[in-house]
Amino acid sequence: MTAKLRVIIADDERPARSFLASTLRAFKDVSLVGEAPNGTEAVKLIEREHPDMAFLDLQMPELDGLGVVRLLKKNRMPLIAFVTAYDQYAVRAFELNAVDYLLKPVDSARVRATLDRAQERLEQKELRTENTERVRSAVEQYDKIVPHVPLERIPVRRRDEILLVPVRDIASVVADGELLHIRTGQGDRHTISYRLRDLEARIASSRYIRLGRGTIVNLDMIKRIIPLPGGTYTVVLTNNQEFKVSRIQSRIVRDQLLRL
Amino acid sequence: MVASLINVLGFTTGAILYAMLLWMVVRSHPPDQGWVASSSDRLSLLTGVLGLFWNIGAFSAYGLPTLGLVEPSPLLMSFAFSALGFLPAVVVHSVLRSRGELKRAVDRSILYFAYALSFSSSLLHVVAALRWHLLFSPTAFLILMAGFAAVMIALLIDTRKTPGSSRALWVVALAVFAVSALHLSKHTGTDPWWLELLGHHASLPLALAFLHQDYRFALADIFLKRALALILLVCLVFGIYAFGVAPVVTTWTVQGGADEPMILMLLAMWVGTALVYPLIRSFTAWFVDTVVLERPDYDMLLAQASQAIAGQDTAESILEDLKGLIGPALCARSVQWRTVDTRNAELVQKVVTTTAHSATLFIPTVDMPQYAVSIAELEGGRRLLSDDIAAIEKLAHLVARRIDAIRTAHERFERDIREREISQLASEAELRALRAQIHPHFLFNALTTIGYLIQAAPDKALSTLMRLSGLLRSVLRSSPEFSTLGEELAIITAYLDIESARFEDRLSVNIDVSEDLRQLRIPSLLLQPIVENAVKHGISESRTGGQVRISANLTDADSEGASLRLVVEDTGAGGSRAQFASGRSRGVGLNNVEKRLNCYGKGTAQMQIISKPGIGTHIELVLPLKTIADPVVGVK
Repeated sequence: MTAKLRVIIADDERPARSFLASTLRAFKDVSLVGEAPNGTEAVKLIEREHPDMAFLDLQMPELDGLGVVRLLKKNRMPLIAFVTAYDQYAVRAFELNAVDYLLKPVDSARVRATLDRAQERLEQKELRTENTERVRSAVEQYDKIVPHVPLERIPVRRRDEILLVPVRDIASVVADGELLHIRTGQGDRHTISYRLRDLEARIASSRYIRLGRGTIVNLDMIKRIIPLPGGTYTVVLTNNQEFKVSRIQSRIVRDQLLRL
Repeated sequence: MVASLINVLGFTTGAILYAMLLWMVVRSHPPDQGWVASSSDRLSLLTGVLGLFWNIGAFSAYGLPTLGLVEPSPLLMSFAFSALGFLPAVVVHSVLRSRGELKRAVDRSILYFAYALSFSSSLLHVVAALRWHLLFSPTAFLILMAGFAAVMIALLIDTRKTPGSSRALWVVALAVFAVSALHLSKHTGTDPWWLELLGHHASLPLALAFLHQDYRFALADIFLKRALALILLVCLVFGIYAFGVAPVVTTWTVQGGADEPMILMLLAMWVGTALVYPLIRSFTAWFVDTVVLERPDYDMLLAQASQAIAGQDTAESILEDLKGLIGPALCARSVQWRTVDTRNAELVQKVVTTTAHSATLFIPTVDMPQYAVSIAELEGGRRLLSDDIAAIEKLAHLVARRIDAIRTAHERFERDIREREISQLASEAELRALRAQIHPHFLFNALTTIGYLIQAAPDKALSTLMRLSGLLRSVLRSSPEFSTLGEELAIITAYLDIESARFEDRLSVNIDVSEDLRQLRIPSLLLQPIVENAVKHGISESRTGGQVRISANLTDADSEGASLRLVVEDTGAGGSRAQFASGRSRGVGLNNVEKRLNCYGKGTAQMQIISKPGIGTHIELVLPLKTIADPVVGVK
């Protein structure tokens, strides 16, 4: 007999959480090692308990199920099963990427099937990494198809904590491979794993301007613009960061900012 | 003998023409202005007086002696000749005047020279009369002739760049004067008749020119039509007599026939002319109107107008069309339309009101606003005759009917659209409510909650289930457009109960609405989406949850403008302006509420949103009782 499957649940609604928990407890080969009432707690719980599998509710305040996945480090990522009451967009993204999901109210037979698949994946290492990839691509795909309201806060990790950085406090975002380096007006540095283009699409674009291929800055935090020979500019922010503006973007800077 | 006859006839005609001119100047003078209002009027008046005086004087000098009545008085004659001498100066004055306000020094000097010529010639006439008892002074005429020849040349050069034909007309008149003066200075009394005609009656063309220039329409109406008809009739009769009757009569008399056939023929001609005269009159009227005056054919004008306005779809564009048609047709320099207040009763009674130089056309539409078209500055001394008035009256009715038709169509169209919009919104609201309350999210979450409750608290599970089925039933029932605030709150309470079970202590509810307010009518399912938003965005997106408060009160309770104020607030997550804007533009809940408020309240109902991230959202609806109690359009 294999070891028990260690699982955690994250859902902000206690009735829903309890309902799923009682369903899971009914299975002998499952050990419920923790419950989290929100996304932030869920990340902490996963980091602490290293469960085999996490049941994440999609709709949670501040940090939702997808946000949890984004913040988890690749090698710490358990198998994921999303839980949702009804979300066409998420369901479509999951279907496309063959990611497990459960619909509320959860059906015990469906949970069983999910658990079985999980067992199978745990036994084969490559299946597990593949699953991680699939979850990540499903999350990315979901971001693209769902109509977003402008993002107000960006969840970032800081050692064991998760901070919610208000978008208006962000001074600059610089892309570095798959990572984005964020600097706030107060000078704090954060790094998130996200695409600059996706982030740009999710924040109120009228308040930001691109300075080059991998840089966007907050318009409200531009202190000075220094013209350089050759028609380009250097932009100085209130937190004293300096950026050279690319040739192409210089024209846009000129048109948008430097004309009355 | 012929010369004498021509003199008598000519001076009589001249006197009549100048009298006519005088009369027209006086008559066309706007009564509300003083006597010396316009200097061009003064010049015309002067021309009339001088011409009349000359013709009367000349008649007494050349006409009366021929008839063997009295001998001319030299002093009187000198005055008459002086009058004649002043005429060209006045004409010169008119020419210069027509070019502007005599601003140029050249113009002024020409004018002074002309008047000086006239003055000196009249002085010579008077001296000649007093000292030598002559009728006139030949020297004076020589001075006039030479002087005005010079003036004419100067004028020709001076006015060569002035556009228009009036210059030529005046100059020709002047030339004829010079001839006249030339002839008079060598008057011997034995000239051939044509020279007499040319010389003595050179003032006739001037009178005609004046009349044609300034009083074309009046001249035509008063004089031309009748005169032409009579001349035609005379020609006809004369022609028939000369070529038909006379030969027959001659042969008849030669053959010594009886008188009876002659009398018969005379009778036949008499009856014939009586029968033909109306035809001739209508022919000359047509001739004068269309050929001489180029007056429009009113039937054509009406047809043109109805065609033009049929293509228009606003009252304004129709009136613009009317302007474009009436202006040229009536030779009006200025045509303006305006909306009128029909409480002004005298305007309402008469479609067309005329004054000397203008007319006001009232467009009698059934509904307000009505319009008036003022037609002013009629050219060519034109006054509106009965057929003009009849035609524009017809035009006014035509336009009024068209505007009425457009308004009716427009009104019906608007009402249709409004009704369609309301019913569409209503069904949309219903659908939305269906989706909102049986929103899959809500429904599945509720079922999950019930699933949990079955295990944990079966009693609570049962009551929640009952709430859910009650809610489904009330929403699925075809909801009327309006219901009472109480009924609405019952649905909302059921909804909030289910959500409380789901969110447990994260959601608390406070409904504070007094019993009498619950009887008020409000649009159904208007509050529901707002409450739902409060839970969905306020509570579920906040980790700690919050309270949803619903309250209602009356503002200005005793006055006419009493309003029901409904407040839905939550202490949940709140949202930024951008989030609300994006939510509304995507057409969810609030957008629908706003549209419905606009539809019912006609802009008097309001929605106000105050929201702060982290603090909560406060949404306030103000519904005027009038519009709630008396909806604009009921939908079946």
